[in-house]
Parts: sequence; structure tokens; C-alpha cells
Amino acid sequence: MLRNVLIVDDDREMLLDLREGLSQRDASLTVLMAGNGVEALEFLRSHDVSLVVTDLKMPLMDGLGLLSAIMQTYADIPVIVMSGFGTPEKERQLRQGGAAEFITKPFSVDTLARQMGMLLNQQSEGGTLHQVSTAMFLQMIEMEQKTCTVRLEQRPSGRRGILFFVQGELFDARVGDAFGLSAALQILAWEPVSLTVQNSCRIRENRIRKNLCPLILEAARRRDEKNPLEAIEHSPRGWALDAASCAESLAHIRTRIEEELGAGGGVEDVFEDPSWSERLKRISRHGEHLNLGRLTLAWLNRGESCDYLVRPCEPPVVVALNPKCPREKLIQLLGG
Amino acid sequence: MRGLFADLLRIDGVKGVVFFTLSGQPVFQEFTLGRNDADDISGWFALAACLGRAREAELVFEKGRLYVRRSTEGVLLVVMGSIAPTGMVRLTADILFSGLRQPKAVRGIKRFFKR
Repeated sequence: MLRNVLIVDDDREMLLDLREGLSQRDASLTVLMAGNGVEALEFLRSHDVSLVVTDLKMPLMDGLGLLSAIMQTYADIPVIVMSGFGTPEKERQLRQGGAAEFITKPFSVDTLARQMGMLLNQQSEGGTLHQVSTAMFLQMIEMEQKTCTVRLEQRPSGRRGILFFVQGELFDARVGDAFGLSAALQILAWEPVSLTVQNSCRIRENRIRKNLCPLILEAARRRDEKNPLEAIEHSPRGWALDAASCAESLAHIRTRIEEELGAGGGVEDVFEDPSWSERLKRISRHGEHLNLGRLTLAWLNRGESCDYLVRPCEPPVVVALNPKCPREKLIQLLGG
Repeated sequence: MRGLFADLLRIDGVKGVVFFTLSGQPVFQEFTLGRNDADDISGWFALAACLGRAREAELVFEKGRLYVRRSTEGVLLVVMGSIAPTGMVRLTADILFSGLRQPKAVRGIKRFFKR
């Protein structure tokens, strides 16, 4: 499975260096970046994140605040805390607060990559299975009274969710920003799935309080009566761009932009980001349903310091622009 | 109600305007000739919902463009042809949203002189 890792630091140079270094070491990682705790929580709400690496000192919400918010809402996500002022006492406090690892600046990317690899491997220590029947597998967990965290990915849509079992009882579930029963019913309706099993569960509060079997039946009933809009969102369709356009390398796109706009043209970064894929596919399917055809380009202003121009292909190519950038020109250039 | 959206509908290349409350209740929809999207009204909102936390978006499709703007007043979607002047659409949307905001109540003696 591809995994999203979120790195949080107000030092943008550091973020870019870490993203480059980590992406080179592990192609299955997508490195997301946030400048403070508030931005990081936004990412956690809208993306499926497997691990968070955070600095301590940041504006708006610091690393301690972020760690505490993650432990309250996303306790399954391991957090590595990095700091330039590490003491054994601080490390002890952070571990008590839920941090999985602590790393003192300066550190090499290799050291961080090793720690991350160890924590990510724990998420699949109990095994990985593909094309599995959700209902059958989960009933086995119930029968064996296992305590585990099961991460599932629906095929072919790529949607992801997590189920938390304590001694065979389904305690909680999470998909997107939905939790508890509603999330469980969504996940249990997925067939078939790929899944990984972690042999531990950090959730201790039972939010569901229902037996698994009736939940599976209810999820199946809802799946059969699925609303037509949902059916549109999950129908498998290809991209509007042809294979040649999708295969255009990042370097080539960067060169074309620089030739057209010059070096100071307002483009901050060009990168591939698979985490956009599912959202763009859904937009494209709705576009087809509304007789607009498939999506060829999207520009988004999310209220951040830069806007995003996203080219829907596999993986999506994202151009981060500052407000000075001639947007229309870039849209034309990239095929809009 | 149509008067509020008339400036948008008058722009060359604009094929339709849809406005929802943030909870998805349709407030206004009008399309130029050749489209009858009354049945698809929830589809427009579902598309806007796919944009997540984006405040503003321009989506380029094979057969047209869509400008989406979200604010505390609601969600505006402007359906455009391939060559619509997006800059003009954005500007008109700015004016529309500033018009939708309720003026603040003025307290004290100033209320007699304001307006």
C-alpha cells in the first residue's frame, strides 16, 4: 500500500529537504508537509496519514498541542517528535504524552527514515492480505478474540479505513473524518479489500457497542441500497489525459513552465502527489455525470499561502503557485 | 432572486449559475438554453463537496469549465463554456458575495445618520 507521511515544521527549507530525502529512500511514501499544528490537523482530517513527524516549536499550534490533539482523535497514528533542544526529561514527557519516537536535531535523513520504517512496519506486522472478503476476515478476528488494528483499502476506489478490535470486539472505526458506528458501517460495506494487521490496538474506549454480525448485515443492506450519487463517485473510469500526457516527466513539466514564465514566474514547487488521486477521480466522475466530460485540470485555493494547480493523471502532478503567478497562462500551458 | 445573479448570467460564455446553502439546500439555479439540469441539482452540490476545504476552484473539463466559490453565505457554481472570461466571473462573484453579506446593525445615535 502507498502511505502518506505528514511532516510538520515551520522551517520550509527543512520540510523540502526531508521530503526529497525520504521520497528518494522509499518510493511507496508520499510526504505531505504542514507549517504548524493547525495545518497538520487539517491534513489529518482530509488525508489518510500513516505517520506524523513534528517539530516542537511552531507558530499557532506547537508540537505538544499537535501531539495531544492526535492522541485524542487519531491515537492509531504514530508520532515522531523532532527537536533541537532535547533532554532526557523532555523525551520522557513526550513519550508519556504518546510520542512513539523522539529525534534530536540535527539528524541525518537516514536516521529518521530508519525510525519511520520501523513504525510503519509495525502497522503490518500481523500480515498483509489482498482481495479479501471483509466480512469473513473480520469474523475470524472476532472468533479468535484478537486485539489488533486492521487497516483496509477498498478496491478499486482506493478508499481507506481503520477498524480497532479489542479481544475480538469491534471498539471503533475511522474513515476520513468519520468515527465510530457510521465509519464502521461504511468500511464493512467494502468488498473486496486489501488489508494489513497490526497486533496491537491503542483504542481503549468502545464507541460502537454492537456485535459484529448485525453490523455486517446492516452494512450489506446499505450497500445494496446505495444512493446513486455514491455509485457515480465509485464507478471506475480513466483519466481524460492520454497516456502520453500522463507519462510526461516532472522535469519536462518544470522546464516547460520555466520557459513560459521565467524563473520568477510565481511557481513555488512542482511535484507528484498520489493523495490527490481519489478526489480528482470523484470530481471527474461527477463532471461526466453532469455532461461536462472528464476533468482535465483543476485550480484550487484552499486559503493557504499558495494555490494549487493539479493535473489529473497517475500520479497527479501538483503545481504550487503563489498569488503572483499568471494562473490563466499556466492553465493553458498545462492543457486546460 | 434572479437579479442577484443576473450579472453573472450576462457574462459571455456563462451557461448557468447554481447557488446552495452550505448544507446543500438549493437557493437558486438557472441555465441558459439547451440545458435542463433540474434533476441534477444534487449532483452539482456533490461535485462541490468533493473539493473539500477549497474556498475557490476552477475546474477544467473536456466540455466546459466550472468555477466554484465557497464562503459563509453559501456555495456558488458557475458553469462556463471553454472560452469564458474567468477573471470577469471571479470579479462578479466577489461583488455578489459582498452584496450577500448582511450589513452590521448600527448602535446608538449613529443609527439615525447611517445609510
